[in-house]
Amino acid sequence: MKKPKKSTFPDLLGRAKPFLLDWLIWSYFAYTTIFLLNSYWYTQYVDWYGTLTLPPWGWILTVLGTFSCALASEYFGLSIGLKALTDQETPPTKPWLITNWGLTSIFLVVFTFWVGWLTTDINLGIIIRRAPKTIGLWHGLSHPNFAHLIEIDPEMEGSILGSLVNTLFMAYLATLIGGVLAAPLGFLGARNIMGGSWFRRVFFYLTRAFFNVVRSVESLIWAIVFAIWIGFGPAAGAFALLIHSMAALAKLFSEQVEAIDKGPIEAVQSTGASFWQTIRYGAVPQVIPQYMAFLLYRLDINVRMATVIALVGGGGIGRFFFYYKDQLDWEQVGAVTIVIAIVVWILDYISGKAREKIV
Amino acid sequence: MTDEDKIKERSSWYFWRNLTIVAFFLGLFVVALFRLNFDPRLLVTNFRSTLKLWGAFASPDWSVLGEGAQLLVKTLYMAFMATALALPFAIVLSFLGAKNLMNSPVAQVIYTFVRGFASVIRSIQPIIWAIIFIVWVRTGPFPGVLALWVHSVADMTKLFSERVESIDPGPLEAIEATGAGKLLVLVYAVIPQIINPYLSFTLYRLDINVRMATIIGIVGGGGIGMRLYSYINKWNFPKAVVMTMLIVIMVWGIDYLSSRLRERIETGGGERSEKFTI
Amino acid sequence: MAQLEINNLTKIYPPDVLALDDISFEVEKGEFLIIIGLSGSGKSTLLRCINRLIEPTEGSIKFEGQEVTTASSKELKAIREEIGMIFQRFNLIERSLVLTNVLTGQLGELSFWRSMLGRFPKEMKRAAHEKLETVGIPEQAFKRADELSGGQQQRVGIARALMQDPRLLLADEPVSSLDPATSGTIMDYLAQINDQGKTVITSLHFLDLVRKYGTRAIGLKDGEIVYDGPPKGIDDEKFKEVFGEEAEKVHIS
Repeated sequence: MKKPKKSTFPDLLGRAKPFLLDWLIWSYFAYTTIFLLNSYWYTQYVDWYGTLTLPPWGWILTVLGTFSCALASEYFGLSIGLKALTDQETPPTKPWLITNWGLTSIFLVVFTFWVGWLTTDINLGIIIRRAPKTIGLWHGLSHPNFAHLIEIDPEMEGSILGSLVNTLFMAYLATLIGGVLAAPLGFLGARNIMGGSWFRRVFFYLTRAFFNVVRSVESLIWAIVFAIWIGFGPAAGAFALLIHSMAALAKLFSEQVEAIDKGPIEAVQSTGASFWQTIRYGAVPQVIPQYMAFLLYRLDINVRMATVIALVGGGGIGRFFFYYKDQLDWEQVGAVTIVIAIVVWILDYISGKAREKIV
Repeated sequence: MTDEDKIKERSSWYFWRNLTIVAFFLGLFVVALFRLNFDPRLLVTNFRSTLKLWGAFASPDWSVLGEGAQLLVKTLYMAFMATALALPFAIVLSFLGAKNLMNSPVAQVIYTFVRGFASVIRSIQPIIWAIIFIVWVRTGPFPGVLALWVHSVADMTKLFSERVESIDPGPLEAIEATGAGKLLVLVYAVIPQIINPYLSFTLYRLDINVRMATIIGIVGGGGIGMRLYSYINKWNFPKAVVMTMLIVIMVWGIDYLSSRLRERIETGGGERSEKFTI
Repeated sequence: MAQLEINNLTKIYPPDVLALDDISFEVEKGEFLIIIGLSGSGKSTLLRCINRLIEPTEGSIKFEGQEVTTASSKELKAIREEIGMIFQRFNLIERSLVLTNVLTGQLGELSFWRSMLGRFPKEMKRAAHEKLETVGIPEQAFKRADELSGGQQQRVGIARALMQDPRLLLADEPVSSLDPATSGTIMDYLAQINDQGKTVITSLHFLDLVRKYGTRAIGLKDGEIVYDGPPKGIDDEKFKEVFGEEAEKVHIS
């Protein structure tokens, strides 16, 4: 007989999350206000790289203040955390816009928009004033120079199309290898398979943490790492795309596995099939089509990333783009851009159509 | 042909077809491996050059934590602004780019234009747009926002208009039949069906923009990417590592929030799928 | 010795849901046993305990003398090969071909690598086609399983079970998802199988079908046996006891 595990731990975590979100929101609000006041006190505009100075007691006060606001917000119905993260069913008595938390949300959005406008130096005037500087750019884009499309550019040791092939291969390798590696990882990250013993649970959390961390670092940053590791070139780019794809696919895949229908698995089990046979015939056919769709989606994304990964030494068609741009050779920049746009567009189209057919 | 032969033929056809497909992809794979000099062994042999990097993980330089956190917030703002500013444009364009709403011949032309344009703009990565805008308005967070904005408008227009095209035609017909003008049809038949999906797509786009914003700094687009890249170029790994950790925390956080909120929107009240153990 | 001996079978779903309460009965070879009861009375649980798709909490289940509840995984595999099962929602592998679905019935006989690669031997494929003929749908062999109608899918399920050449066939509400006419066809197939000497244990909730097909009926209510005897013996009073005061008879013939 198996005894079910009871733990109050997940319960506590569940209660903590909305509170933490509320606290985060209040802290954000407090921090931004302090920062703005700070900047306007000392200077007339918001300094992008300015630093925030507060005496030590100021920080403690802020922390305590936000903490109590967070606690209070639940009482006053202002808690956004509760509404966003928990399944609490509040009776829809009033239209969303008028509720306390609704108004707070709107206020936050407007506030963020205002601060954002200041912080990101949005200045529509500059767009108009500096427009003449871009004439060369537009001229180049509209009169592309395909000189090195097929002919090899000696300084670049390659042709645009040759590089394009490399770019596509980069994306292809990354998606294929990443896809293969992600499959077992996806199983390790699925709650329904990793239930059982505490040992399995540890593995589950570790796997999940692993792919969340790796996913959070964009391929371009990984490319920097791999360029240092094995030198510049498309191989580094391929590794970078690979590792990011693997993590992203593993996550998607684990969600698929968690949503498997028990029925066919029971049916195969009942005929006396072994564990692996049950997986192969009962579980796998349920997830493969969707997984193929994910792979195609990922291929699309990888091709897009591969076109620019040359920026950090990842090789591929991006090399040409950045080189010609440094030379201010806008006509050739235009040529490369057009090639990139066409290829990405075609792949997007194929990927879309193929995915439609599968799902 | 006897039944048995037919059976043999069918099964063997499937087998050979699958085999050819696998062989093709495998072949492509091998060609790619050689052409790119893709050699995992290099990871081992060149491990030396990365020791400095891994060493930095053991002793990160926490002094840049404060500065990093601020940059993080600013990066977040970049993404937010790009998404918020793109939203109104995308909404309007989505109606112009929806086959089921654009009926008249003139409208068809507009439709083709809108969708075509969006497609082209989408095909060009934000990084490339960032370079264009940097030439235009100089480095800083502004070109970053512009680049993300342009790409977001195009992407959201595509997502939105596809959604509009798959709404239930029932309410649409019903309201058109009452003789209501185009605008009223929009408000009463289309909008109620798309509010939730649009919200969901916007959150999805915000997630993507946050990720893009972290790297757009590398070309000079402002935000934490710029600082990260400059540290790496100076081989100052302890500081770079701290920046990366901050990036991971932010992206993970936004990703989590974004998916939870979208779950809530889609199921409108929370459903948990059944869990079971094998 | 009876083919199936069940003693003191109890199943508790955590934390405290009592699905089966001390069930005991025996089944002889060749019987057509029908288990009736409301949804939630424990019918599904009972059937699934017999081939241990669900772990009993207490009690013993002996199939042809062998104890199922304590069988090792190898022994369990062998036992399951002799017990076929069909399901209410058919449980076919939707995206796979009908033929593949039928073939999964004999996975137990196939070596690891052959089964992983899907290389089924010729004789097995021929046998699968025969089974499809037996249930009347040989022409559907190469269609995707989800392209078939409900009745056809259930027939594929039966073909799959027949592939095992089982001595006992379990059917968990095989016709609950089907319309009355198709239900009749499926029940006819089960009767045919029973005529060939295989024991059939099925759960149903339509009394008419019980009267028409069963040789013996067991009524379950809240996990307990409230009736065990010939179908004819379920008079109105017994009916109310099994199905509850408010139930009314529904005729589907």
